[in-house]
Amino acid sequence: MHRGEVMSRMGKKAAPAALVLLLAGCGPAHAGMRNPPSLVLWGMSFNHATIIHCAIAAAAAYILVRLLAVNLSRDHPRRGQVVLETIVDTFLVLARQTIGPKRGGWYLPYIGSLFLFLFACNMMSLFPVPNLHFGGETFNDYNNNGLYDPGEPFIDMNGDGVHNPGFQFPAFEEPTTDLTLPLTLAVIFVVILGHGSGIRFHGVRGYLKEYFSPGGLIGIGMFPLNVVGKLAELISISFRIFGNIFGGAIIMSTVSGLLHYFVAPLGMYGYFSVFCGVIQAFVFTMLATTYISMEAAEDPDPGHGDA
Amino acid sequence: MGIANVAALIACALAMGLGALGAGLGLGNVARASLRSMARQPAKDPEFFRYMLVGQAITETPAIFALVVSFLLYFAGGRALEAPNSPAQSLMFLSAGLCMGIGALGSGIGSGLVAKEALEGMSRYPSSQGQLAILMMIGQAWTQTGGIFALVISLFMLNGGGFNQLSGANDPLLWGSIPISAGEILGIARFAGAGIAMGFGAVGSSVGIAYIGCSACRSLADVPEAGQRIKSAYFIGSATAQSPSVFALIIALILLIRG
Amino acid sequence: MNEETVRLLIGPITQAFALLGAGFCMGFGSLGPGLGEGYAAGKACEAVARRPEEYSQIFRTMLVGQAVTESTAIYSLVVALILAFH
Repeated sequence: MHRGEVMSRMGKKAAPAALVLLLAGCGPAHAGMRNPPSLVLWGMSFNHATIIHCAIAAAAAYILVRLLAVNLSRDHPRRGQVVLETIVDTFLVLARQTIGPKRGGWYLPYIGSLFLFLFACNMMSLFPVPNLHFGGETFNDYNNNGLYDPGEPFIDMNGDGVHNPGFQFPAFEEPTTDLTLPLTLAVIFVVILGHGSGIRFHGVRGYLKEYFSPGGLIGIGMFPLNVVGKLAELISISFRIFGNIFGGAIIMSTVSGLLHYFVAPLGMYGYFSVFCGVIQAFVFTMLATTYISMEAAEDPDPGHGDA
Repeated sequence: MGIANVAALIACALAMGLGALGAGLGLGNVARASLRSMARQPAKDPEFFRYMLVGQAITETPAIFALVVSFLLYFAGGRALEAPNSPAQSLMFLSAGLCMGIGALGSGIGSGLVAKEALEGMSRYPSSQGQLAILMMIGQAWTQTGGIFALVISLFMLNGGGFNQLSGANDPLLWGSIPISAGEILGIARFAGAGIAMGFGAVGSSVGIAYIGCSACRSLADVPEAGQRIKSAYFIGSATAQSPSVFALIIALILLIRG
Repeated sequence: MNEETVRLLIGPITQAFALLGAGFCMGFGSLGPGLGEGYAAGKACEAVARRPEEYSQIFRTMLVGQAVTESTAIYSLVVALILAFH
């Protein structure tokens, strides 16, 4: 059930309450129906929908923070300033508690912007924007998914026998329902930041020593298992947010379908999109902080610790 | 409608049923602990309610994974398959469903236990509330790693992991009367083995890590000043306790990939 | 069922049971170690809370205990690998 389908079915209904219908139209698409890769370069496939959605989410997070941060004042803080200070304080405390009072502050900008970006990503399905076409050849949309599928008839304007899609602006959906984004973020935060700080604080030698964890002859045998264990961190952190957001999207599109796209299940949107979106963004951020802290944490007992 | 379609629908029901079983037990535990905490400290009602909601939202995660898999299975069962009578493909669906269902069982129960222990700790020592909330979320997230591995294996199976290499279609049939070929026999064994390995492999580690989380939350509530050391023991301990499920993941992937 | 069919069947069926056995071996073999390692680390957390000054001693004991507990999981892994590449 694609959002485009939702929109077009909605268009066929009489609309007594335009706002309710508009909200129902933002039923998220499920990832099986996500737009196929639109560009293949050097053997890598790119999905322009995910890229555009990520850019929009990042811009939205930036603009949100800039709007909250206008007219800062020490004596009479506005409501936005209080919200922003709460967010910053939360993550500063989190970083200092998990990584350590001295090093924690250094990681704050990364951790905070990760949370804001994921938050903006998870909120995207609340904005009902359908698939838009610019300059493409007209086609007959048999399955109402808003996209050209092979086999659908089209008017061949330039006579080349191939459908020219023009530019398609993708319907809004959470970019986190595409596994690419969580995996990329996991690589950035766990591998580059986490393992990078491991090398920075313990040196290359100390970092490599972790892979031979118990040490000695057993350590050499444990090497491949330790490598797989490190890879499992990436899998667990990225599939968690993907599965949750994707599952919420499935639930909401199913319920919207059961309601015939006539009434928006606002309570479910509130729970699955807003509440679970915030919680999962926070959990991702917190786990990233924890993985960084496993490499970069200050020694819990500098006196006689050998751990 | 072939045998594979039926298998997909049965697997859909199994995945969601087992997944909801574990999450249900866990959610009940969280609610019980929060009610007990509210009774102990009526003045802090709204805070306990908030932490209960957060804990339940994370406890629910394995059930949502099971929902994803059963939804995909439902669609796989509904649409016309290329090989509707292939026993190997039926086993693939059944095994994907069972893997996710059993994997979600352990993590659902476990993350509920962690949240329960954290909430009761909060009611006993309200001063360490913030620290306990963070430890609760981390503990629940780590408990669910086994469930996530099960999700990975199920999605891998459903996306045709290993099925493309099946040489079943063109092989000569081995038994004259029973239409089954060598490729099909191997396919059945491979999918069943991968599902069992990952499904049951996830349970032990999940419950074990949940036990560490419970102990860590209890200890942190009782002795907040040793928080840094408890957390360090907890992190390293659960990273080690994770390894059996990582072994299971390796074996399941080997069974699936090796054609 | 004639000689020829039996000869054709015996190979795939042996391999199939080996693969199935690998799955069973790893699945049930990791149940116990997972629980046991969790139990060990949980007790270690409680011990650290009771005596924070003995942290490094407790930590070392925990790691050794977990490594020994894990050896059964490693045995299952080895057996499962042998069966899978049978």
